[in-house]
Amino acid sequence: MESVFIKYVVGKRIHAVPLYAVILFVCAGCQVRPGIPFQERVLYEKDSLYNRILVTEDQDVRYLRFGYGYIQSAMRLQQPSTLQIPYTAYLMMGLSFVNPRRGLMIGLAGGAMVRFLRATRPDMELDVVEIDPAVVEVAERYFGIKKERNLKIHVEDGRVFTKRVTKKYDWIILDAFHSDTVPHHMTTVEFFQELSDILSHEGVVTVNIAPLGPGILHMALIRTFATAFSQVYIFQVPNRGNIVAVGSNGSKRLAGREIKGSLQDLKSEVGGALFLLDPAEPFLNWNPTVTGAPLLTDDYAPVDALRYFLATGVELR
Amino acid sequence: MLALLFTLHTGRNALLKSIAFLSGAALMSLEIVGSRVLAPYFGTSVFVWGSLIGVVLAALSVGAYLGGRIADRIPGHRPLATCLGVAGVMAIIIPWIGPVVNREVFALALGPRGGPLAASLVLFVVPGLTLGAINPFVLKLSVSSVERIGETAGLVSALSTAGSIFGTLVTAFYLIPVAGVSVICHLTGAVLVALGGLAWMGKSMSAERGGKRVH
Repeated sequence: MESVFIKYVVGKRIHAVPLYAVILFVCAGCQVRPGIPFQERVLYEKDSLYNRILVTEDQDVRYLRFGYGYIQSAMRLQQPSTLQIPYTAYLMMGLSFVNPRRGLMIGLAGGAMVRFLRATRPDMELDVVEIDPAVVEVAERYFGIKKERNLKIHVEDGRVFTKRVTKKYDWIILDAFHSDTVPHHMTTVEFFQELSDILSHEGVVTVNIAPLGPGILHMALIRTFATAFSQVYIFQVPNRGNIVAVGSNGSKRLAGREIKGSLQDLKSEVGGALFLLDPAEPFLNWNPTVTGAPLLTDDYAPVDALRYFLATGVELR
Repeated sequence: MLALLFTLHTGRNALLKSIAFLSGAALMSLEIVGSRVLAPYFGTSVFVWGSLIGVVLAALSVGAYLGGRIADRIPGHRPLATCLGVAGVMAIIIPWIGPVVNREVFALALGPRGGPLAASLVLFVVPGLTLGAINPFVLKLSVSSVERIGETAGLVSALSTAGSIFGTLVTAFYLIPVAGVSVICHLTGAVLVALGGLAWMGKSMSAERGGKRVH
């Protein structure tokens, strides 16, 4: 077989021409920059301790990408404090639940939410925890994050930081991800309990539950989050798989209409920067309960397996 | 690999071979699950993985050296059985002492490298030392003649490494998705204690049987 093939291709030049064409097409198909649109130019590329970091830019928008192209953050060059990724706008709905004097953000990436908060809540004291020092460098160099009086960036593991910190926060924003998975120790009921311990009396936690894989991971995350807080409100980000959940230790549950009203107020106050936030009532008017997906604990948090684990009879009520 | 498994089941002195294989498996199982013991207090940073792997390899190295010396000084199977038992008991109690050790080390605030390094030392140095000593013990008990020592040493090393691969894959692919950290530690410990018990009682491997040893 082999020798016949070689004879056929090499021996007759005429057949070699279509062969080269095929090779060319195959090469064109396997882009040299997989996952990055052609109109974007690459500004920065680095393999850091935790990520393969890419900064790319088209005419209007600068992107931070991890791994082979997953967009982590986007900044419109003309409107740097406008949130360009839907779930980030939804995470900011914490401002409708509490008027925060001190906030904690776990996961920096390109710092879009930091820019938004500097612009709209300049007096708020903000601690940001990011595990990857190279991500902090990139955010400062390419994404307009500056060292300011009210802003502290801590290069540390999110969970280690929350265990050590003694301050209380009015608002915690949890958005800690690797390029395509979630750190398992920041998905557990013990971790959410630790967040709850550093939350002020009125405080809220907003968490991004990303659509990782076809399995039941997101349901397990909702179940675990809802177990740790006394009031949990969940919102589906339109046209995206993301779910944003808000948790608090309040004893009184807010009515859906009330929440929608204050989201509308927030949106009219800050204007276009939250154009992606669509004021709506939460998915359920009571505390959600999940059946059929496991509770994640420090003992049992198989997040990578759950991403692909399909189960029937999983219910959110 | 299949040939090794075949050797394990059919060759003479199956117990010694099983010990070489399963102690390798247990070590890697503990190492994989060890990252989850440390994670709640020290995260999953590259420093945590580095500390854990570094401590385990250092302990293996020292354990192998000490095990070799002991094997030449104390004849018979008791040192082997003792090491398996100690490693097994340590594996069984890790889920209980882990959080205590983590909390105490965390309170010392040794930094992102020092913290996980110290906690790994306290929790994993004993299993590393004792399991590291297994291979020289097994080799000493298996060797029947100086002429064939190369073959025997190679077989023990190959079985132990094959066991490590088995333990790594089974833990990462199967055990962590279906069971918690505690269950995996207890299971690993139970296997080691059982092997220790068999080794303690096992006559087939002891010096008394003379020429019946594997080569």
